[in-house]
Amino acid sequence: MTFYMINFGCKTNRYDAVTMSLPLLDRGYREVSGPGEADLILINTCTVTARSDAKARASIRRLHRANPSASIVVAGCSVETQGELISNLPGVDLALGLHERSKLHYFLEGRVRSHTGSNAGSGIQADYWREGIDRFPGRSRAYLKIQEGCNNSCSYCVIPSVRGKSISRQSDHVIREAVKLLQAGHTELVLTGIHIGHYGWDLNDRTNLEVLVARLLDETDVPMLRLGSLNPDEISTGFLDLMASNKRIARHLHIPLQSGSDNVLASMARSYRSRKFEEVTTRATEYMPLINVGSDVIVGFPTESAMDFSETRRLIENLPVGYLHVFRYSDRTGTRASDLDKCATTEEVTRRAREIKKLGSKKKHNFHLSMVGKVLPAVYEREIGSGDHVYRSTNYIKVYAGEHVKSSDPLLFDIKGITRDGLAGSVV
Amino acid sequence: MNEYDSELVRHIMSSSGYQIVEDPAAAEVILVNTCSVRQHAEQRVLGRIGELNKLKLEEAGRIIGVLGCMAQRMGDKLFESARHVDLIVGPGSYRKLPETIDLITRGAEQLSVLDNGRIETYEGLGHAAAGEVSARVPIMRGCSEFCTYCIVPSVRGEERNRTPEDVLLEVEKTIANGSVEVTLLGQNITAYRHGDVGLDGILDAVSKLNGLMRLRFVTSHPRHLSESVIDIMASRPNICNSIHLPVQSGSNRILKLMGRGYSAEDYIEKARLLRNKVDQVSITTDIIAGFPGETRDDFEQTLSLMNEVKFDSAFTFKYSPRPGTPALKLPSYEGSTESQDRLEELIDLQRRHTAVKNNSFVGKTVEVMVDRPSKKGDGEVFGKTTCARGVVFDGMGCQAGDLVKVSISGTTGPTLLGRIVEE
Repeated sequence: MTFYMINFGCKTNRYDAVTMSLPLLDRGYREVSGPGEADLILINTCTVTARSDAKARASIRRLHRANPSASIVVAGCSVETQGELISNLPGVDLALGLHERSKLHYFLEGRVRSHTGSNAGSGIQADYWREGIDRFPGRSRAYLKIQEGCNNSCSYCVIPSVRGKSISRQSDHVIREAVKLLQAGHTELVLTGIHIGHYGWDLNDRTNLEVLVARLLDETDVPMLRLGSLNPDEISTGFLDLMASNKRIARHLHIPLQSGSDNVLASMARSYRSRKFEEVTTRATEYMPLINVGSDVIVGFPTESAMDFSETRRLIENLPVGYLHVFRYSDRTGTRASDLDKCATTEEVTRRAREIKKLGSKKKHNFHLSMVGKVLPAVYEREIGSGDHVYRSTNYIKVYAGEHVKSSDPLLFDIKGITRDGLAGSVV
Repeated sequence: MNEYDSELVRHIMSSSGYQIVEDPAAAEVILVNTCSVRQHAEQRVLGRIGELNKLKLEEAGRIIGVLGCMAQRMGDKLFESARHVDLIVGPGSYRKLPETIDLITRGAEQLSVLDNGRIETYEGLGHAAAGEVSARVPIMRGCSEFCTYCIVPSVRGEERNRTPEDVLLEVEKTIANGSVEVTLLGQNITAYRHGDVGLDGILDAVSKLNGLMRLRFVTSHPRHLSESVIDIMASRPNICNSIHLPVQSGSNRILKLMGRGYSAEDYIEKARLLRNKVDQVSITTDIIAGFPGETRDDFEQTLSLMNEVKFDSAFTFKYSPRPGTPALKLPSYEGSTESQDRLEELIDLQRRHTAVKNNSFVGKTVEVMVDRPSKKGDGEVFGKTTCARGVVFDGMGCQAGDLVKVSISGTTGPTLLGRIVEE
């Protein structure tokens, strides 16, 4: 049997996808690189914006046309929000709810027939949490999921209703999984989850993200440990101190800002204000001069005025931000923001998105330029043909080099210049 | 050896364009050369490194590096105990210092260079102490004795002997630069051997060089001290009549546990030979109190050896357990109270022996090489006799490096007092 898998959305979704593909691979399925030769097509969906849902549906139709005889299994967040719609699309044999994905092979073997299709927040299978994954096929950088769900309720966000409240994995299980992934040859681990800043809150052992990170450094040989997205109010000075004192923690933080206007942040029900973002970003750069602080921005939030938008732009202009992910506000049914009246026209939002994306590109370009002449540790990623190789720097930039030096520890690169999307360097 | 290494590092750094400053607050790079020989030494180093944090906080770009044996022993663990340390470089890797510092100024963090330098002898650096009266020249690096209590072989590597040609070339250069006294260095210098040439050959060749007024060598191991070395000490006027010959213990049982490779009787015999052949020879030593399993009886044998040999002075230490050394596994370590009492007994006995030896100089006239102004000032200078005793006297305008005759009038503890006599 062969399967073809496509994945949408966040890093956590990537991890979830692997929890589906590994049991298949272990049972003798073979993963193929196109739908044409697949007996089974797996689609792991994302529902964060309306566009995400549309993309999921479009890909189901496209893949069915590409290979009408393959059976299609759809999983992921869109199944939670539009399970019925998806189940009725032509070619779809099975739509699995978020917490059913680890049982995919049971469905395929016919051992389980009925399923709810949606069981958000119903709790996670104990075996899934204990077992996790032992490898992340085809990559040197492995994602390691440490929690599921989110306790916040940002007014625009549908995810908590899909993924449920924050549920953390036991630290011991996380560490055991880290050891397995390292044994499998992965040289970088990325701690992921829907809201990793909430890690440990639901556990009874006073653990939190900082404690978990310290344990991972102490108890494993992880050469490079990267952190997923963290809100500004979840990054304490103590945490920055821990990062700064250990170069095995990547010089990279992704800190979603969403808006630089405190009025908009308030109507988004975000738990911090712009001042906090400014503080944390500045301090992180003081502690770790090479750090790359990336951020997310939503443009066109219903209450965002032209003035609010310019506050966002000005804040980012003045801060050491290395890249931006820009999202247009997406109206999600059932969220509180959905009831708000919109300030800006579609054209105006498009203009804002274009403007802030341009700023993001400029910040990224300048950040990359500032790395020329520096020495950066980077972890091997892959060969990109014609003897060129790509590495990923501690501060999350691609480093292109003409050599592949075997090393489980990060290599130091002399950064010679910039490329279209990264840096050019040579091993020191 | 560590002092030499510090000079070596100064040389390496200044050759790559760095300027040496005395005030750490004025430095862009602060390097701490460390010792690992005893636990106490390491604790002091950790204290000093901790203090440097203040300077780092004052200026984030300031680079703090830890060098030497402790750097080699602890490796990356040092970064965990001292976050402000930027680089850790072991004794075999100093050539890489400038490039490592360069990497750090360009953003690299927490770098350690710990290739144990199995082959590094720092040949070809063109290093020679410039203009110093007294210069040091290593003839070997590392030690292959593996005494059961000692961490040195594991941090400095096994013995690497320099070629006699290189040694001679370096000594000639130091003489040309103005040095009149040379101390040959080696952790286990009596074991030096390159081809057919041993320490005796080196001493023979070096002592014949024109312009060398005084020649010393440290540190000798009793097992390897040959009669021919003693003979050449006796026969060359510019080879100083002093030897540092660590005995460590006077008990054969303990010497065996230490893996020293000689008996108390062997040692006494070597000391007798030295006293018989080398006029007015000064024998100094190291003694460890409280080695694991040392009984009162063992200890008394040490005291009796001291009474027999009558050392001119002695460095006495309490046994210090060092990680990874075989002595750690030895049973029945009597504990530190007992060791402390024994240490004090050793110090007391040695103090009396030193006093008798030093008092025997009173009324005599000795040749002294002026070293530096004394700490008191007032035109007084500090110099050393050929038997390595310190002498303080009115310099009457003498320069460092001058050889003068001094009549000894008294002593203060370890130091002799006197005045210059006209010939």
